[in-house]
Amino acid sequence: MGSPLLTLGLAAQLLETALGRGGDHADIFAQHSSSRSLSFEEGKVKSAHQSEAQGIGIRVVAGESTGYAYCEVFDESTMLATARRAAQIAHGQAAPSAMLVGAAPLHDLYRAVQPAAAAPMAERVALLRRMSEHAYAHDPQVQWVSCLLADQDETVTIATSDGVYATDHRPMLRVSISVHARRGARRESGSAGGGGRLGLEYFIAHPPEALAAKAARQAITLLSAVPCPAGQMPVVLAPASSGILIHEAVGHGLEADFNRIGVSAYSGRIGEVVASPLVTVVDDGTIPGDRGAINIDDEGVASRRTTLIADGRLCGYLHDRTTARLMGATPTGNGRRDGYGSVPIPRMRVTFLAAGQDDPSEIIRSIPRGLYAVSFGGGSVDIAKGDFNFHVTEGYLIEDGRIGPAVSRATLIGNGPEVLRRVTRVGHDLALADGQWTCGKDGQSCPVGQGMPTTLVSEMTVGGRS
Amino acid sequence: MSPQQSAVAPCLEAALAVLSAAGCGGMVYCHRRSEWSARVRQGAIERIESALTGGMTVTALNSGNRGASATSTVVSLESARQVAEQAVALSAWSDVDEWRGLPPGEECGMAGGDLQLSDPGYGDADHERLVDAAIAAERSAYAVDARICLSHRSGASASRSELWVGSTAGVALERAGTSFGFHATVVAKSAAGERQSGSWHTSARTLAGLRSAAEVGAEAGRRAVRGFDWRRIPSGSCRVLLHRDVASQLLGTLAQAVSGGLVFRGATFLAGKLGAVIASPAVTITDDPLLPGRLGSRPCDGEGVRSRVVTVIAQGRLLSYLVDGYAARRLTHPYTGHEGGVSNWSLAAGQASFEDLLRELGTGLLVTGFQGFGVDLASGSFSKGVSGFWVEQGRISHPVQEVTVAGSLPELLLGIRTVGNDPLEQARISAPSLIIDGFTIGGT
Repeated sequence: MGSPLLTLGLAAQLLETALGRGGDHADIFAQHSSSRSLSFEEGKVKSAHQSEAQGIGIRVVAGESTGYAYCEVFDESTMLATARRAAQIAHGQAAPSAMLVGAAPLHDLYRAVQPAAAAPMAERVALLRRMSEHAYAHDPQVQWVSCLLADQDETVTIATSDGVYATDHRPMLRVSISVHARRGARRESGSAGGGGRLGLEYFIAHPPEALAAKAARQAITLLSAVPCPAGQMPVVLAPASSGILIHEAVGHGLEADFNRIGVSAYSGRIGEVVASPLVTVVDDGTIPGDRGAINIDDEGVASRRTTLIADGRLCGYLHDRTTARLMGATPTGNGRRDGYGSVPIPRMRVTFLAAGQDDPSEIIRSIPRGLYAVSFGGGSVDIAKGDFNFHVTEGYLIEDGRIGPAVSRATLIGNGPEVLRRVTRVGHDLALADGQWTCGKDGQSCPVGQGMPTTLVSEMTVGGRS
Repeated sequence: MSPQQSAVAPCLEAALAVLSAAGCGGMVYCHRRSEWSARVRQGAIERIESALTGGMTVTALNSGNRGASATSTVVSLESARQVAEQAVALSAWSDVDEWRGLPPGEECGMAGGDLQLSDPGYGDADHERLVDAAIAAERSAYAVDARICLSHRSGASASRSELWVGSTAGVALERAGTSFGFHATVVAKSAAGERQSGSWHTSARTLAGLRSAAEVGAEAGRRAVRGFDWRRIPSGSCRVLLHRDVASQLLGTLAQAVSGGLVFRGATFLAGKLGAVIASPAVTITDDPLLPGRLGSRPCDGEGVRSRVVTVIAQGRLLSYLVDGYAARRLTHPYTGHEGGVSNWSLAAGQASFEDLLRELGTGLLVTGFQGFGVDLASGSFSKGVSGFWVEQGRISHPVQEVTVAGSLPELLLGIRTVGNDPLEQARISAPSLIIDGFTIGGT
């Protein structure tokens, strides 16, 4: 479990102070992280950066109210003052805190065989050089290549008034490449990336050249892309990164904070059919090495696999401790936060549409005219209405059952519940996206994963120009 | 002088001493910030957060024009030395880059006299007033329409931040400011069970500069109910009126497109266009960091470069990019003081009132909301989900949702026909409503 950032005795004292004016729950989140990043541009090491961050956040929950305070120095008197600030939310008699019991997390999901932090700088530089050179060599129209390698080593110690005292050591590796290409006056860009809770062994299965080729191919393909059509049409989503559809169309709407107050389009609908019977949606925090994997969440709850929709029927929400307590449910290990500066809220981990029965090539063959969507930029959702959007950065026309010319970037929009009913074919080729996704909610960022098999949505609105 | 301030100066000196001893040039940044925020719901406090945070960053530039940086959240003498040593050690790993460097002394300094960036009267007691304002705003939102049934994300915030910049070239500056705000978001439900949400906010440098709770709440409420009974419209192309809410988002995109970092990378459609006509003659855009009391105002940028007013586009012609020091040197472009992005970025107002614009639009789409991230600056491609209203013969006919608009930014900029007179001046990025030709609608 790694060595804790604060002793059991100090944690107990802070919890006692936090509950000094009463409250139903208190917890402490201490965090230390060290990060490194290296950027490589125009064939040169452009910049190197190193950073250290530490802090401790203390929360007091009294009924439906939360007091939260944090500080960035681990000195006892400052931490106690921080606990007293958080305690201001309560107005009663001191509440008791359970005896803290140290326990190792149930899981051991992180796979940093060659921890990036320990790797010699020369080795990191060499990886980026290989990636950059390969992208420039891909095509003479490639004008500019930038690559980034970033890693983080984070230790968190969590102590709660119901007795949890746990420490989790979390590695993270992220690599990305962006390629700009030009033909005459036309400029296009492509990008690729990956990583996870892994070390540099990531590059054995994912050679830098493969990422470089993916980004360069995307930029070059877009140089001769035709305008994307506009309007409603069938959309076939390629495996892996298309999981962004599930993340935006369903995932956010099933976060319990939105459902507790009745804001979500899925509020009060547990047990109801909310999707086509082909749709089974899972949020799984236990996929070893994935960017969205966590041994424990940021409230000390063990990670798990949570089925949200089974064969079209809604079976549960994503809970943190607060929503679980207020809704009479069990925490699902989805209480996550950006860091010590933020309160935990329900967040996704690795969210995917489960594999179906269909042959992927058969799905494409069944479409006379439509869009095949392969790579994606960001997406977002309006929780109350359920309307979502995502940006297709690499897509192709489907003409008479065959993949045709590439189309320019376009935004796709839809309504979550409506689109889920229009899932008419699901392939057997579920794949997880290579880890590079970061989800934003309430101003907090959180690393997540996603996955998708080849999937047909019978009709979506495509924001093209022809 | 605040107690924090007296503690920071020795840290800056210690870090600069490490740089000098190692034969490096460089800069040291130190910031401190106190933050407070509250969330309210159904008339009660749901959450209160408070924090004191800080940090320092050291950028080292060694004699071979190699550079690197290091950061820590700990502001102490020990941390200052350690961060500076890390930056020096890392700098050996970067490659030589002739454009690395420090802004020259004559470009650095504090501009503008008293920019009124802080509320001198602000204290902890004001937090209660802000909570009351957020609760009152929520109440006003509910009062707009009986269909408003839920409050979601209403709250308030206050912060005070301070930044110190020091360099081995003798720059020693500091700037400070406060900001305050509150917001309301409510959800309305129609008889048919459909939900729509609406939100509004106010923010300012001083408490007195905030709009009233009644105004903010009523606007949030109006926005929650305005979209009911919406329809889709057919795919095709039509003239579009962008309400100032979305015109300012388009303007924000343009701010990125003129940023020096993208220009020297060839990553923006405006690279190589300095001096060229890139927008219609109705378009004049400035960035003005010297407006007293405004949210984006600042005496210097993050590198200590003196703030100045920059006219970026004059009657459609691109006159300047927005550059940090590196981009200025690399592009041989005058310094503009834009380490840290735009300050108060605005499209100059025209003559037409919003009603005039509706009449001029005649029959077409009024866009009031954009959804999504569908902008690619390299190609200039633009594609977003939109909500708004269908306008017929100058009158609003019905709400429109679940459609898309797409276009090419170079064509859209040239297609700006008429500029309204209604910019929202409290915003950092502000544009009036605009009529634009050249959008394609993706609908039914």
